Amino acid sequence: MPAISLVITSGKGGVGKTTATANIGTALAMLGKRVCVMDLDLGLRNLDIMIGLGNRILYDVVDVVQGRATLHQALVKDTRFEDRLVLLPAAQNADKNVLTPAAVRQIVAALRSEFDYILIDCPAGIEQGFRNALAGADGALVVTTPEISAMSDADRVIGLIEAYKMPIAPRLIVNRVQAAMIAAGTSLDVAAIAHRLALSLLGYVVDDNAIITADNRGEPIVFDTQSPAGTCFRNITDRLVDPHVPLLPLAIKKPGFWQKLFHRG
Amino acid sequence: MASATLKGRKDGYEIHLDDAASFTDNLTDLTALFHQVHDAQQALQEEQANFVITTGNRLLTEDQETAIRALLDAYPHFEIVAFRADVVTTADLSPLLRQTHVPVSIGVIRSGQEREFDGDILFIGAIHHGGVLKASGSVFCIGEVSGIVYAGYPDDAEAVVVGDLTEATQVRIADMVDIVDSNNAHLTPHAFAYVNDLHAIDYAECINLRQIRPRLYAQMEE
Repeated sequence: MPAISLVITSGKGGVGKTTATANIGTALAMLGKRVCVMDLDLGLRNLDIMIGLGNRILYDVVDVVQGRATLHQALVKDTRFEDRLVLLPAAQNADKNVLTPAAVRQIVAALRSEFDYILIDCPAGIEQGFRNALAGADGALVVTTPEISAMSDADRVIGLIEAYKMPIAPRLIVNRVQAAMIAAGTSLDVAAIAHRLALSLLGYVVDDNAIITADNRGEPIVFDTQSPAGTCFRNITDRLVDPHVPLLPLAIKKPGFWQKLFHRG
Repeated sequence: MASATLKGRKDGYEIHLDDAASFTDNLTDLTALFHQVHDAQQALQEEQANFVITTGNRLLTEDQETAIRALLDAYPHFEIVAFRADVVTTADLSPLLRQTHVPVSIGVIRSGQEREFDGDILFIGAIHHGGVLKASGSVFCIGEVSGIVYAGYPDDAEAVVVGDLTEATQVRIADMVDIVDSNNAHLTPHAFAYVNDLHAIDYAECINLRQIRPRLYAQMEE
């Protein structure tokens, strides 16, 4: 079966697109799927670092487009998964305009037969880079955080995605969910965000400081079976592969008597 | 039987041209009829006469109308007030239909999107923050409204916006903008927005729509 290509996008920067791409890609490989993660954030590539392949890049996507390397020369294989996880890195110092939607479509088409999933990490914004990333995708995963600014940008991006009429309907990932804030009523809960954006909810990721250390080590958090965020990413991946998998229930602790007494407001 | 028949009306004459006869026959009979009327008018010592020409299921072309008017050159005190047919062309009909028909649109208007409609619109769905719904007529919304609703674009102050506007960002009608203030006592989920006598956007309960915009009410009832 040819690969399903999904773009991970958000509009706003810093909400966790690259983290989501790295973790879902890794989790898919852990499930035995063949995965290619593509970084299209030209000039500001991070995906390689988060997956832990930063030091093994020889060629990048721009080299492929400009004919300096073949597609297979540019693919960086992750030996942790017997080469099931493969990264196509972005260029760090190339002109942003060398990539076109047609070129991305062509690369994705060439990769389809060899993988089960192609994940495209989209740059922030809605300009050329965004259009390039969408061109190759069959569907989109929209990442947002529970903040109004991120949700507003997500809404804008969903509108643009819908105009592309992709075969797979876009789905929502809510990142940096704070159970305590939801319990206290100071943050929108995940279902309310999905309802507000009128989008099908794929999953959520709890706010977890372990993500920062995991990113720094180049080991995606999904490796950590103890981490709440890792569990969330595995649930998202399971739901992506099998639509019948239920959403992980969010453990919301009701503030106890003593907590209410001493942590008012 | 002649293909042009004369009827007297209180404001003049009506001549009915038989649509089953040929136009050439119509014209011949009409010539004779005008002559008769002229003679009768003279006998009664009346001069001015107004005619309405009805054509039934025939639609006269401009050339045919000119040909009929040319018959009156001999009678300067005769005047054709109007040509009336029971039929219209589809080209003339479709704008009329558009005026009286309220189209329905279903969907989500997201941030950065703008939907524009000609005439009135019944919108079912959601208008998200940053989205704009614009209509040259009135807007009727069912669902959440968090964005901007613009009725009567660009200058129809008779237009209204009906729907739950409590969460909207702005309501615009014609050349006016209201930045929605949730403290406005008149703004309830069952209110509608209109332009009041002071030429400002105001809100009133939906049950008062009939009093405030009787013409709109009559149009919808038809």
